[in-house]
Amino acid sequence: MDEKKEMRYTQFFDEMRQSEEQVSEEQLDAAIRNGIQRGKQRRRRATFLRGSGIVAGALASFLLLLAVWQLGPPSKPGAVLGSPGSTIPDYVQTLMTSNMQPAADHGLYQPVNRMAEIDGYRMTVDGVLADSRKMIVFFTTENLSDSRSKMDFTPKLLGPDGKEMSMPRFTSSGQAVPDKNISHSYYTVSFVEGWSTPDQFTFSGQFSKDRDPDAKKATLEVPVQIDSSKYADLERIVPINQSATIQGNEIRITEMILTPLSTIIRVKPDYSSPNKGLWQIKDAKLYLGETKKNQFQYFLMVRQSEHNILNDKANLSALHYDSIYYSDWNKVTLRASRFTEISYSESKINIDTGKKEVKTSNSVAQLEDVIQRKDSTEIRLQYDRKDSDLAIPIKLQDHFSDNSGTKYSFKDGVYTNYFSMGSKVTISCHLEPREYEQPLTFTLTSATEQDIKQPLEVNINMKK
Amino acid sequence: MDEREWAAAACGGDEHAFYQLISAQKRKLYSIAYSYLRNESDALDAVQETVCKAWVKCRQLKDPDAFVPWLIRILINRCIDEQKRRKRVLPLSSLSPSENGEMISVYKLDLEIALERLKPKYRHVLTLKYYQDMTLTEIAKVLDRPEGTIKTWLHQGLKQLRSKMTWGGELYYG
Repeated sequence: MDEKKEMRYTQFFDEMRQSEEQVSEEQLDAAIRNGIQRGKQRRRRATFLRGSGIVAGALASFLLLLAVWQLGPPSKPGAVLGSPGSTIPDYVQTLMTSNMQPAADHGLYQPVNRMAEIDGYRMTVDGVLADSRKMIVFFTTENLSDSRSKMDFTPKLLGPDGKEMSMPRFTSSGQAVPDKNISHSYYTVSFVEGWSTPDQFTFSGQFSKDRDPDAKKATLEVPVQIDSSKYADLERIVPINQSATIQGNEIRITEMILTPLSTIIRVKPDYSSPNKGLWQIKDAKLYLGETKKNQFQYFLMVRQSEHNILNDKANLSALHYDSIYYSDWNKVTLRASRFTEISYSESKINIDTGKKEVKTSNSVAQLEDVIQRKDSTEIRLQYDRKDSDLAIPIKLQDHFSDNSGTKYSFKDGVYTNYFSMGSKVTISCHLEPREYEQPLTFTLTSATEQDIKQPLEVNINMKK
Repeated sequence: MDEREWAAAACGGDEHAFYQLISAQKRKLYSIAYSYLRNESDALDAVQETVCKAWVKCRQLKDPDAFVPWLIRILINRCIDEQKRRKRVLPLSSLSPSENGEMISVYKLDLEIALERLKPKYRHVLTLKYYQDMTLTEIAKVLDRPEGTIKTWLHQGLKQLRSKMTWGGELYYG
């Protein structure tokens, strides 16, 4: 067959590949765990059914034996029902991924079992699995009044002041297949460098019906306290101190942090130009164990990438993987095939907001509209997104200046809002209502990314 | 531990090893199921049922090297059962243009219909080769047939596919 046709067969499946990539790790994991659970039940049932045939025949003999033996010898202490971690409910156990299970087996699951109820909704915090850098809140939501309508639930973490915690973090969630009006879920929070799992927080969630944004919302809050002494000393650091040069810039891989719930590899890019940075190490897989010919080798995929943001410019600072804390590898290898660099450029646009016109501009963004409101003046800038752009390709700096050079901040600290229609991105900001010396100067930072194909291999000796 | 050792432990009843082994294949399993069923929840359900069946039958597997091909074989059989069930409950022509009125290639539609009409054995080989990028040796293990047979099926499948297809440009629906 000619190559062109072969290529078309391969391309035919591309659409399916894209669809298949949308399924989350959590959904796949839940399918596997549910499959194992069902397999166990089926095995037990099969054993029982096989056994029942024998039982019928044995029953007569047993009755006869009982008649002559009266009471048998005292039985040994009964077998413990359930697993050693029987404080973990089955539905929580089923939700646990392979990354969570070893930490739970080592006693890091802390039962909470506290609930709150309002307007026919109930939320129970079942427990928390935590180490110093990551925590997973297991919770159950119930719709007590109307089992027909679907409930939508948005979880949040509140600090002691009752406001949403402002610490930088990554969040994700997972859910078991909902059973009518009850749903078991978990909410994962990973903390970035300089922050750690809080001892106290309030787990809050907002219920609404059928994902209707206008539906009445019910908010429930459950205060949670966890014992940080359980994981206080459970962290190991493996020094790496190796570097790679990417187009003349040095990238240092400094250390690996091992905790019961995550593996973090710290990265320090050292770029000579302040307008460039490292955005991503693509396909950065962590291979476990020695690499030997013709031998299957497990690897971990990057779960999250952490960035340092300085003056609105981001630089990769860490790669987060699943935990290998409880495994005993002598060697692991970080391998990647590509890097993504990010380039920043600044531009300015001078606008007379009274006349709604642009005076001068070297910016790729254009003025879309100036809207005078009672309590603010809204400026809307428009940008035409390119394929090579990042998710948020352009950012408005958090202050602007008038013709005399006086600097002002935007109203309410709300700097920019983005709403995208096709390739058009609109940047919206609000100015305090006052007389400004026109024109006003707005500064924008735009970012574009560049893909660099270059392999990376970092061998990490775990037994130093 | 290598894959063989994991498989040996899994088939000996080690749940952790079984979980590790399946987890390493989970995306591959899902993608195979998705290629047959084209629906997220059905594909997840097929994976779940496959894992369940594999756990129940695992101890009967004599050769740990054959674990992954055996697992994929269970999954494909499960997908075929589901397709048969669908044919019993769904009208025959369920292929319709996208509701959103997006561009659909005639080539893709033709290929999709032609694949549906192929004998299952040819379809398995084509899907595993062009979707899963498997080698003929790997496909032979999955389908439990000699490599020569797989090669013949691939040629026959491609030949039949070409004869069932019409080639065209682009159509716009919507």
